[in-house]
Amino acid sequence: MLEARDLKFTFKEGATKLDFPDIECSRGEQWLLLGQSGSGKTTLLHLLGGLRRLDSGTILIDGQDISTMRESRLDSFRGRNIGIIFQQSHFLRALTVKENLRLGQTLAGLPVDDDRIVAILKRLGIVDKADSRPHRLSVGEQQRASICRALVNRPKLILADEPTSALDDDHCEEVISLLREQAAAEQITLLIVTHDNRLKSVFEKSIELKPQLI
Amino acid sequence: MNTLALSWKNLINRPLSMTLSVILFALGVGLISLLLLLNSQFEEKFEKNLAGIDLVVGAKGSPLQLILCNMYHIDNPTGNIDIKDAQAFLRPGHPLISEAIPLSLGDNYRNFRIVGTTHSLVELYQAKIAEGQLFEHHFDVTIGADVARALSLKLGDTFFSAHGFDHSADFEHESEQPFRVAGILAPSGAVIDQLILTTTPTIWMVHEHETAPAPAQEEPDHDHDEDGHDHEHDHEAHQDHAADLTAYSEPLLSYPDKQITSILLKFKNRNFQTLNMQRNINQNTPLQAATPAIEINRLFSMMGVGMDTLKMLAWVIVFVSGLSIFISLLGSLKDRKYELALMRVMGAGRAKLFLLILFEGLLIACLGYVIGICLSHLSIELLATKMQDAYRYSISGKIFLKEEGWLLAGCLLVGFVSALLPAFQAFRTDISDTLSEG
Repeated sequence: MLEARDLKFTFKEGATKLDFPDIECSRGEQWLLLGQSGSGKTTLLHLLGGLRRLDSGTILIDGQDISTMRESRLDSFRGRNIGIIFQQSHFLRALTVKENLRLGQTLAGLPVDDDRIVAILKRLGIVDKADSRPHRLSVGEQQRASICRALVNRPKLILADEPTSALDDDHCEEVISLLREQAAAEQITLLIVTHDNRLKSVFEKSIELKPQLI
Repeated sequence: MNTLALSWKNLINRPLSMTLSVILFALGVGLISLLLLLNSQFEEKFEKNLAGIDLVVGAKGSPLQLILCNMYHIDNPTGNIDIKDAQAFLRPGHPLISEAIPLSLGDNYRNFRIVGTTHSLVELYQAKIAEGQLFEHHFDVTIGADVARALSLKLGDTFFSAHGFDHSADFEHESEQPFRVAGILAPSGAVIDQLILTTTPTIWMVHEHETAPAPAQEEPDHDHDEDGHDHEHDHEAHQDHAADLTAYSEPLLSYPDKQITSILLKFKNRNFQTLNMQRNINQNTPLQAATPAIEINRLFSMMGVGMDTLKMLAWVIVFVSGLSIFISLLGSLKDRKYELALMRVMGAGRAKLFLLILFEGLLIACLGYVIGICLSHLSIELLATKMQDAYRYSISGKIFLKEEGWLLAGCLLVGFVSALLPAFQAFRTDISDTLSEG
């Protein structure tokens, strides 16, 4: 499902060269990507999500090599196949939660499917917030809404970057278990980048990133 | 949700900065459109009222005043001229002149000018009779469509005139023959709509009554045909001073000592002879001759300076509003860089972000344009009545010009240019860098 080999990346400044271990995740598997800050976790996640370009190496998602895709092709591939959850949830402030999800469908070139939106809002327990502006939600609710957005297009892969670091213990557990349930229910491969020790006990599979030389 | 709808949502999410930009834009557009409308409607009316008149002959004074007074009925007369001085023009068979129309001004009825003239004036403006007939007898009037409407005058109504051009009860001519409405003209769009027309001697008779109640001595024809006019003498109170309606039945040339205000001339051909004629009149006679087209061009070029300054000011406002669009979009990009990166994450291409920001600029421009056009047309409609009193022209806010189409193009260009740089910045958003900062 997700296969990354010989990934190398250099920041524009040229000072930092990053070398990443190979990754191989099968369909529906849930992985933790661990590492201290400075180990290039977020960069790796951005590379896997096609938000940054590699220096060399290949990334195959569902059999397709995203490292050679043209940018516009990559944009729409990402919209349809990869859901990304960030440390802090970002939304379009001008739109309600529901409209944000609809936008997710439209931007990916998919038809608007309100039934799907309501269904996942229900599953994440925030259907009553559907018509609220995202910034009116609590931090925990916002993160759940982010999960909804990652799920809405039935992606093959969800990448999450420190999804729990802004949450307290109760919310952390709640959000992670919701995320795992939903990913499992739809056979989505899940890869969570974190240095949050609270998660280590929950996941069986993990990859450790070594601190990189600077 | 399409890009345009999203742009709109983004705009109304920042109502304050949007309102400022839109108001600025609307002010600029409104001012430009107002100037365009006034300019075109005035020019059109002025052109229409030229009506092929080649020369106006009247008393010495300002040539522009002569034209404004006698052709547009705005200004006061330069004075009167004696018929004996003007007989050359009034005599039929002049080798250069195809038509000569005498005008006598000096009285009004409720601010509408009473003009003593001949039927040729009606033909000149190609006005048609709507009701009744053209004035035949002294003190019969044929009134323009606007006069009839504004004063609710009907056929057979009678009224008394007042001296001068501003209606005031103090100057009303007392104890005299009343005017009687014999005909009403159909609207022509020309100045004749605003005039009350009667025979030239009627004006003389009104003023003779002021000084000497008895008709003038030099009247050559005393053939009183009382029977034919009896039915008009229904004003008992004025019977004593009633004018002799059969007086002055000869052509104007028979009364060389009487006065008129001016003569409108049409030439058979315009050539050096007619040019010489104008120079000759101005140098060798107590009269003055002025060419309407030249004077009106002079007037427009004088007004043009003011118009141009105002128009420049309006474009400056549009430019500033363009600047405000630019600044507000650029500022909003700072607040929205995560949103833009997020849209890329969700599958939007660079071009989409570019369009999103561009549309925001264009939407402000469109909105400003629509509001500005509404403002200008509305204010013209509201000003119309006031303008009509001041300039004797009916203007309308319901007319739309093709220049306003060009104005829309100009506005879209301003919106486009002001949004271009912010849009390009959105286009260049680096997803990864932006998201890493958070």
